[in-house]
Amino acid sequence: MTQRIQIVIVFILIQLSIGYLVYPDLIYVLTKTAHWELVMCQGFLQLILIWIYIKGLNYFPENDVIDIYLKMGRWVAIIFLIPFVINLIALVAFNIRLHTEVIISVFLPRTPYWSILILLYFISVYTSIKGLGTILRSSVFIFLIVIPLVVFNIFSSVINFDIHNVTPGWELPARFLLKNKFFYLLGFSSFLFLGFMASKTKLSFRQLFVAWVSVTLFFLSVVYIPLFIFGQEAVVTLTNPFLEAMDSVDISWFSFNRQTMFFGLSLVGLVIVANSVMLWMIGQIMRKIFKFRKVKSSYWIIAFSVISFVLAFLVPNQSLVEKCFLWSTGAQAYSMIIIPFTIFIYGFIEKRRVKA
Amino acid sequence: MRDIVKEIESKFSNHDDLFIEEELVGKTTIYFIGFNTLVDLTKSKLYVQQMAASSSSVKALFINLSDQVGVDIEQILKAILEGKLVIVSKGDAENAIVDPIAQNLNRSIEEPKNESPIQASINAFGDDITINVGLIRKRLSTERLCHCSYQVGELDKRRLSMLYIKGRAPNILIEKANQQLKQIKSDIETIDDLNKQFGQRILSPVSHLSPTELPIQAIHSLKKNRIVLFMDNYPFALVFPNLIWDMFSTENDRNFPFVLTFMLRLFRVIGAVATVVLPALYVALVSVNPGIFRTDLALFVAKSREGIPLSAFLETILMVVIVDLILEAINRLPKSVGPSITMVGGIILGQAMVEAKLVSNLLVIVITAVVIASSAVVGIQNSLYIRLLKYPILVLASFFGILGVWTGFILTVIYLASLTSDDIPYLTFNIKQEGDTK
Amino acid sequence: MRNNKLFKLLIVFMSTILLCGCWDIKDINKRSIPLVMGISKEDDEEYKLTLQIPIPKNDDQISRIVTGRGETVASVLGQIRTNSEDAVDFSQIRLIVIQKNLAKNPQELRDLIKFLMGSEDIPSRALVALTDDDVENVLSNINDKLGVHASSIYDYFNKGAGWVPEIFSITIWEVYRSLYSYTKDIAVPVVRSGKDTVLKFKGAAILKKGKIIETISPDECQLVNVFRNNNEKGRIESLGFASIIVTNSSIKNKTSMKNNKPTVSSNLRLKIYILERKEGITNKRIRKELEKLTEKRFYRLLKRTQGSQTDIFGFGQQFHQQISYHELKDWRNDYYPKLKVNFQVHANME
Repeated sequence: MTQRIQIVIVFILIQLSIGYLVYPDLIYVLTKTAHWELVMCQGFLQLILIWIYIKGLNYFPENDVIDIYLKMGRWVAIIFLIPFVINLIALVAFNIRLHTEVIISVFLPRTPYWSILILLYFISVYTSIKGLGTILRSSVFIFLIVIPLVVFNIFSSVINFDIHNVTPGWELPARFLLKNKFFYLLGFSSFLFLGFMASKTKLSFRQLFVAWVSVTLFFLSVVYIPLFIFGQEAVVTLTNPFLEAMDSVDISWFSFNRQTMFFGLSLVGLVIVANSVMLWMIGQIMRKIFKFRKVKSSYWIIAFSVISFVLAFLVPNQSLVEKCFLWSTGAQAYSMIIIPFTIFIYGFIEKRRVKA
Repeated sequence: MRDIVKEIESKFSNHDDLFIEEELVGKTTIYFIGFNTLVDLTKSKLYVQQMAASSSSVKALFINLSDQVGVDIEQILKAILEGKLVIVSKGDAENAIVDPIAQNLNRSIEEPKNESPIQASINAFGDDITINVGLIRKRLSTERLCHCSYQVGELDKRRLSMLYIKGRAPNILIEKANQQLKQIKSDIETIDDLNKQFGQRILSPVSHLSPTELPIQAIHSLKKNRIVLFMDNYPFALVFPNLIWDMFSTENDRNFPFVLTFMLRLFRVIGAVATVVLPALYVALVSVNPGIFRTDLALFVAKSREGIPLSAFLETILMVVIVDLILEAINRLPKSVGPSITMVGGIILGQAMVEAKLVSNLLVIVITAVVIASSAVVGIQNSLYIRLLKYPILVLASFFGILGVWTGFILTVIYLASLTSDDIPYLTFNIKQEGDTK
Repeated sequence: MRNNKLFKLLIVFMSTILLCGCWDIKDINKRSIPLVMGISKEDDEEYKLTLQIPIPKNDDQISRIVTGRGETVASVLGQIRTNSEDAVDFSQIRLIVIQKNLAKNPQELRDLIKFLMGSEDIPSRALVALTDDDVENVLSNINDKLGVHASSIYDYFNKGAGWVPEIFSITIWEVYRSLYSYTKDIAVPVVRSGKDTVLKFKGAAILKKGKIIETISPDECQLVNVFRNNNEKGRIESLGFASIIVTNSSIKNKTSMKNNKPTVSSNLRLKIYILERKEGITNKRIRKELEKLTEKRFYRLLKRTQGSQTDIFGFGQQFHQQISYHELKDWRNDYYPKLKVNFQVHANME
């Protein structure tokens, strides 16, 4: 029971981590009006995929995604999962790098980025080596600390709201579905890790639905807070709208005068959880697929995190980081569609065959 | 064959406290053998004589006295070492191991020395293992309370007892602990020796066992599905596994209304967090991220640090080390000298440092708060390890400022989350009731 | 053995972490913390930057003024950093005073605001004020009168509702927002150095996309404030034959579009309390007079701003739901001049 709640918590944390920075930017670029429709649209697509994914996973109790693919055959597993691993490496690299840039601008403007990269990598790798139990337990505690900060951030920004800044709520240009940026947007909903943790506990869709609702509410607030404060016209000119929105808040009774600090702190907590989960997934996939090598998953994790560190280290500037990050989330969107469907279909066929 | 007495004599020739007394019971001569440091000979003799008066023969007497009759020499030697009285009849016809009236080597049940319960029963565990188990049996009269005892060690066979409530403590946990205790080969001298048997944790400040002096606390742990271990001659119950919540709660809190209990525990949590974070936060705010202060506060802090030659990190680490030194020094000193050292160390040194402008007075306030806060947690071992945890965070803070404090804190949480004892994580709040009731 | 290896690896990692990162360490007493920044332009070429920096010393606290000149603001900031004996930490700047002559060139002002907004050091929460005076005068006045307590300059602009309803504060991010907004212009407070008090409030300058359109008086500022949903509570009005104080106020706006013609009907309700009056003046007369005065003031200002196509009241904000987004772009030029406002004031005795 506890573990299921822990998985739900990890789900929320990862969604927040990935959604905090680039998500509002993408939304503002995609549409000038009716932002909420876009958020809901993405949310519902995600919900459908999660539903299919869980349906598919429930055909195979006691098995995680890798086991299921291995059942289909080792080469199938390699074909489907190795690109996913490569994608994850890129995602880890650019995710950490992106967060590093923001952390630098919030906390340590004169510190070179590689030192913070090392720090974040060290913690993420340490956590993922310690295994799933550690990730789940520590994420509960991080959740308990970070969520109040996030909520505080959201509510304290209310004082700068101008309700009239919102643009019309009903005219969503339908073309957005065709833009490839929408595809990137889809990549933000990372739920694939559910299938890796689900081997012992059966996931219930209802709890995930509650998590999904809270995450969607969060996404709405992340999109609408800068909108309420700056308005659509000004928001598109800012590099980090949410960060600037937090920076504009000034609470006179509070003895610290930087809301961005809390934002930065919650960001660090979230990015650690997200990346350690991704690194752990890499370790799991590699260990299970190349079983015969007798290599421990911690060695895989260390090796791949070094690769991803080099990748993150080599990207020269922030705009390129953002682009790379978007590409990798876009690539993730592919696996997000392919993996749930293949598992669902395979499960369906398998069930038929057993019956027959 | 009459040489048992001789053999014992030769075996213990280096032991001057061995006595071999002859005594006539009826027509047979019997020998009392034992250590006079462990056995109260006069009283024991009297006891045997009384028994002899009501027994028909020597054989009947031996059976009346003990159920260990006619044992071999090995066991006799062992029994003598354990402080038993051995009675051997002349000509080696019979022998018996008798529980004697022992020399009183234990103190009586006393008040706890390391914990100070408020509004609670103040009986504490003593040195004798049977008394300790008895203290628990007396308070927890159920047939489901199980007691396994072990004798382990290489040189010295030390008695260990494991108590658990059947149907409460998880079976897997009991089995594992049982295995681990049985496998012990080396001598168990301290808690840490025992601790190592439950899986080595490299350089970990967190033990698998949580010692408590209070029977009430031990019983509460039993009821909360945990195992309680006793070591002979060690006046603590060792609760296994040690969980983080032990640091913040004692059963005695619950003698107050719930709100007060909640308040007490909240203060302990605040104390623990403050101990770990405050010195680091001071360094971070003063030397790396002063931007997050409000203007008035920033100017105030800048003023308080004006003219201080040491950097913020140096002055903090200096003060923290000095304070930890004082805390340790007080422990080592006789009770009559302790307070005066506190006086000299705490007040005069602090005052002098501020006046000499070696450290800022703000830091002195912070350090004092930390010392007080670190003592708020339950159990001295927890207080110690909390005090240790602040150093890595302090170092990280001096490099990365607020970010360092935060990552250090998260790293600590992750580290604690990674600890498990027999697959029960340190950061769980209750252990599931998983045993079968039969 | 394996554990031991892992442990060594851990130590190596830890030490690499510790090896990096010493770039932001600077004790707070080794930093100069400027509180007020003045920006002006000399001879239309060089930027001049003036900083007011308190120097905390134990007994007598003093502060001083630092100036620098250069091609761009960024270069002056760098120059001040080099020349200062301590590291200059701009994170505590509370007020930025901009000389009006700089604001003559809208492009330059826009660039300046963008720079201030984008700068990581200078907080975007800092207040902005314009001045006709010499910036250095204003700052040295602040320095003389307040010294190290210059942080209380913030309180000058934020006295709180119910005390001084005319004064309002504008922060950098609000100015930045107005540079891009389709439907709202902004008024920036104008101050002068006062004789006895620190500053003298001289009304506000209306800024339209970085260009100063005109200056409005404190009375009109207060009217603008009412529409920015600030309370008018505490305002004292002198009618010649009586003076009253507003104890409470509320405003309601209703918007409608007819044949592409926007209409707003606004109702301002005032609760007033009569402080003094000449003999024989009835309550009714005072009420009528007050209503007339306020309405007149409003219509005058509206006419002026409609002429210059600057939506100082932010009426356009309320049409966001009625006009489609791409048409909102033309709000200032097409719709605002045609806007009809029915402004009605209802005064009530307490």
